[in-house]
Amino acid sequence: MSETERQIRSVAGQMQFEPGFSDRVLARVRELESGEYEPSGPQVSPDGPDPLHFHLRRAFPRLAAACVIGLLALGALALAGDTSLAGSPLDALLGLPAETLETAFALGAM
Amino acid sequence: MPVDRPTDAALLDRARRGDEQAFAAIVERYEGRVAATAIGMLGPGADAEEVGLEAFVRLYRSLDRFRGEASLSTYLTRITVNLALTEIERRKRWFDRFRSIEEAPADAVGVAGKPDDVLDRLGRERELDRVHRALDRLPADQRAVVVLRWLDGLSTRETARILGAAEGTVMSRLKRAMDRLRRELDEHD
Repeated sequence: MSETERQIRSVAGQMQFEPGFSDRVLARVRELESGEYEPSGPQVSPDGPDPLHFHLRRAFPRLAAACVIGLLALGALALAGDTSLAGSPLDALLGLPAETLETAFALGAM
Repeated sequence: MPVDRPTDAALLDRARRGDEQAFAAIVERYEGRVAATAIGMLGPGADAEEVGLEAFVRLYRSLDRFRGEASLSTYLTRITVNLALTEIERRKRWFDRFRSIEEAPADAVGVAGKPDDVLDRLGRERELDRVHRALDRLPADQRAVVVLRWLDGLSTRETARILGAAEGTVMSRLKRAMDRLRRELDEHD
């Protein structure tokens, strides 16, 4: 055993929590049981610290909800057959005609 | 006639059925291991205690799911190491890395027992402080290896399994850590 290893090992027994640790654990468990305790910090699985996984899991429902709302809005517009939105807002601002499938074919035939 | 010490499996079974004393017995049995891991990784103080408390709370919450594929000791050590690594990341993010050891009050070190000789106690506290300072200067991955191998007394294979690394990686990290610790400890002699 090297001197460095001996020095590190020699203090292992001194690394202890303050007395009454098990009482504090049980108190926290009771808080948990009564619903008073909310774990702080990121959720960590015993298999490894993977905050990205947990952040993605939290972000996913919000992103999914935003996508569904967007899809419904686009679907509603398509069903309404509103072609006034075919041009971009910049086109509308400059007073340019909206581009449609017909005008695009007409340009190709020129 | 010596009283039989209940096995981990028996205590877990009782704890699952709501026996608080059985869970307390598990905590008392593994408190030392969890303390060495948490304090070795984070230095003495409130953060290490918080990690220790959280490790046992997580065990409690997963009592029904814990089926004993890994030993209870390995399971708790793994949770503690992962919580400590997360805490180290948090410290890095918030630039408060330097507060733990520099500002830790001497009485937070948690030296066990009641030493008769004050000089002896001071000497041991000084030695403990030196080791904490040296460990604190190691990168987190090397510190985890030193804590598991030397403070917790685990084998290279067990350490590799807990950290999810190859045994060769564990050995090379330990070698680099040992070189660095030797320099740090010699420097402060």
